[in-house]
Amino acid sequence: MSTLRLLRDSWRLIRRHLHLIVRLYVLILTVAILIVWPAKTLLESYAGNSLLLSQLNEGFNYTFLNDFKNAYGAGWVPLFQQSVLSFLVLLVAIVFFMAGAVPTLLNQRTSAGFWGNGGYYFWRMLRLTVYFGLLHLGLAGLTFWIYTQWGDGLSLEALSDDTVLVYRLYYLAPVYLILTSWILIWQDSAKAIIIQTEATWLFRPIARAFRQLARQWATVYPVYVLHLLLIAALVAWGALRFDHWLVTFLVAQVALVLRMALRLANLAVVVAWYKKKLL
Amino acid sequence: MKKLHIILLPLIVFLSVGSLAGQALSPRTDNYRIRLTLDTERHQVQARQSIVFHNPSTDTIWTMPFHIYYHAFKNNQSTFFQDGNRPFGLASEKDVLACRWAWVDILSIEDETGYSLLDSLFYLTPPASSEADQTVLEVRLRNPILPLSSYRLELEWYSQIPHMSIRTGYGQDYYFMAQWYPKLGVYEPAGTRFAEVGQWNCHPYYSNTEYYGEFGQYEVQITLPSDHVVGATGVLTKQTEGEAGTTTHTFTANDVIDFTWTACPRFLSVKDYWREVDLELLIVPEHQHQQDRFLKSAKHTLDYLAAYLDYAYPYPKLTVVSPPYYGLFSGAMEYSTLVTSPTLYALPLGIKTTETLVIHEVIHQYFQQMVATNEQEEPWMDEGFTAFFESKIMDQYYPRGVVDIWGVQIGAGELRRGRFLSASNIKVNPLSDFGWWFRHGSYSELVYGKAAVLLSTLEGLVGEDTMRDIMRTYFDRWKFRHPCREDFIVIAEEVAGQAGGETLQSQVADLLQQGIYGTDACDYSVHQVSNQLLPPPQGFFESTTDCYQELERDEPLYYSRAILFRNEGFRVPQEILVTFDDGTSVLEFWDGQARSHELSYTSNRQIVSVQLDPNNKIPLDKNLINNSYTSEPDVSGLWYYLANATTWLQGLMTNTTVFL
Repeated sequence: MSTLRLLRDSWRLIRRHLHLIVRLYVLILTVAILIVWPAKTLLESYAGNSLLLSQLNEGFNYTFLNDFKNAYGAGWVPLFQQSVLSFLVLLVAIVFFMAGAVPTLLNQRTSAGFWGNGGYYFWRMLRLTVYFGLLHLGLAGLTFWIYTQWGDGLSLEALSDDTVLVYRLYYLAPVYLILTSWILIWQDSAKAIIIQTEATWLFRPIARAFRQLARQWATVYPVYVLHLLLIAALVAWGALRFDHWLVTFLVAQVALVLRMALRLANLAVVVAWYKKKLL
Repeated sequence: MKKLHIILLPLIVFLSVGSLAGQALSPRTDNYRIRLTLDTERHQVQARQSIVFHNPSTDTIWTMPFHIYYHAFKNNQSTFFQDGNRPFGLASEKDVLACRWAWVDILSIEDETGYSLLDSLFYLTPPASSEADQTVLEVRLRNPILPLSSYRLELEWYSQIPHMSIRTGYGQDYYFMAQWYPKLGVYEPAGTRFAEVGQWNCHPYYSNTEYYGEFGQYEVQITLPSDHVVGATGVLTKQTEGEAGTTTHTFTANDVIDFTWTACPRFLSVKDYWREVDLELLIVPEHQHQQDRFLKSAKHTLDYLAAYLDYAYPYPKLTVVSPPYYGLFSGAMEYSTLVTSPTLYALPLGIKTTETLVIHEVIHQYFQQMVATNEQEEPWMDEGFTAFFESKIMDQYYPRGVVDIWGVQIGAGELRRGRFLSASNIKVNPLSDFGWWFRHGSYSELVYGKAAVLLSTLEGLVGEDTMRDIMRTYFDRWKFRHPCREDFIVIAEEVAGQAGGETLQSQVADLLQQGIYGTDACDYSVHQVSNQLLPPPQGFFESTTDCYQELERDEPLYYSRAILFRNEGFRVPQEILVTFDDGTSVLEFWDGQARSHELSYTSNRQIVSVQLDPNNKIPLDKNLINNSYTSEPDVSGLWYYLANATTWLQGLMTNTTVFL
């Protein structure tokens, strides 16, 4: 299977299941609003009638933020705690979502429906997420450790100059990104295998996904990485500022939808590849 | 003719010598001649030092105290160490086990008759310092220093340079030699600053405080390996090649309070010339791409202060040192005609720490190096003034702010105010406290931030023109002298009185009294705004037969009221802008004394908004949000922030899906 064909097949899958993008977008937007709305209420209650509020239109306002924090900061504490809780709930909800999305893409257990599948595979997806989460943490930690220990470390006593701190990144960053993206493909592949084989013990499908990916990575990897790079480009595009806040917001929303589509497209890449090569 | 030559020749010689010495800008009380050799293997200095002290008073003086700043790093029982600051670089076990402490050993000390005073050396430890502290060494003289006369001491000493200690020392091949020699204290005759009788002012080295020096002349010969590039206070007047691969650099400096030097084989010397001043930037190759940032900001500062204070930088040379990465311990500091400003290879253009630090340290050439306040007793008098001008210069030449990156913009003035108001306790000490009394935090927020914001508030009160007159008068009267806070207060009141009469004079006096000696915070707010529709006159008035029964007026009449509060202890006059629904507005005034104040109007207009301090003259106010009230809020700003926050959160969550 060629890379281009895989790319085409993955987007065909996504086009057939556009509702996944809508569901993911609505889920994330809902949680974001749930977090932000109480902050709006707090801001309005303390600063709603202040003339300083109109200056916020001009962009980042350090004076407003600092004075608000100093004068009314105590009100933020419960809000912050609530936000953290909401974020954790969202993480769980996304795992649930992925548990429903993969069988949808695989066209499996269609009678159960999206949410039914989500509930059915949730705990397996959650365990898988935890295992790979530890792997990501381990890789990040190892990379950081290498960065700090390389050569003379960070020691002011021993380092000859600070350019080495930057040049280390030139070597480490690409290696880290390559390995991370490899782990992400592996993780998505494992999802597809677990769901397709109805495995309850996860280590065998994880190992199988690793072996098959090691043999066939040249096909899958370029497409997957292309999507990741496009996501990074959309992060920058979505950060553009326009004269009116509403235009800025709408452009950012479009960028977000595209990013979610690309994330799901990556899931579709491994599903499409898996379907063609392994079934 | 021959007789004429006999008369004229000595006169010609005298005048020539006088012109060689240069026209003195300062009293030149403490004059040093130092010959030193730097041992780069053992990191030691061997020196011969001659000091000539001109007694500025009518007192007979029997002692001479010297600062031995290196002894702050001699052991962990020094005042500097015990104060709470662990000397940077000596935190490692390696240094402790290698016994890398610093010291100065006086090998010989003789008075001008050749008498040895080695047995007359005593370390002073005032009550506020550690008993083991050895940073003040007193020499008890055999023969006193007579009134208005000169006295010479000859010293020979050896020192161990500290390893990467705060502001001074060595790191790898980099030497930054600040406060490296036995430095005479400042003799304050009666009437100088707080001295009721003549006294030496020579405090131990506290961790919070910096330095206090006397004006004089320096001639310093530095012998070290030839591959080292050297920078120092003053100008290089001679350079000779010596034996065994050494070079001797001779620097002279007039009318300075200190002598600092630096050396590193890796320095590049970037030279420039601006306003008749030789600029030299000493920078390592990996930072050279940033050289324009250093030079531009130095030039901006020289331009600004020459215009503002009407006094051009008077020295022939200014050296800016950008230390290597392993020289960061030397910090961002000011010394006579030499400043340090660190940078990093990858420092983005949008983070203007390089510019801010260069500007700050060059301003110090005026406030502390020329107006030589006592940084230990009154740190706000140099740091606050410098921070005040730093904000003005940054806001003028770098209007996009100190931080301008990724959509975040923060101006210099607002950052300074914000950092002050974010201190853990803005009331912990008044500015009038000695520097070493700031023991419980918030030192830099108050000494830099509160002082700068207080001066900005003073400027708001008197206006920019009068503030410039105050600063010019203060600088003009006190340059090359040692003022204290009362000297500044007197001038501020005097100039304000001339500009705005007794009212302004007393307002300035009140402001400075509260700001310097008090700890109250400042917070005014608009508490309430109301518009009440007034009914027409109803009932009996002139007689009991004519009854007024109208329920409504032909045209509405309102009783509009605004209540203002003073929420904290600080009092400062206020301007209040009241805007009505017909588009008109009125500027009211309140002396700011009472805890509350009312503005009321009976008219056919309703109050739409009330704004305290509409021209932002009082940055000391700790909460600008409650300074205004409007019944027609423009919430588009709120939606802007909320939309941004929502998008940012969505982005974070979307990125997380990649890992789930």
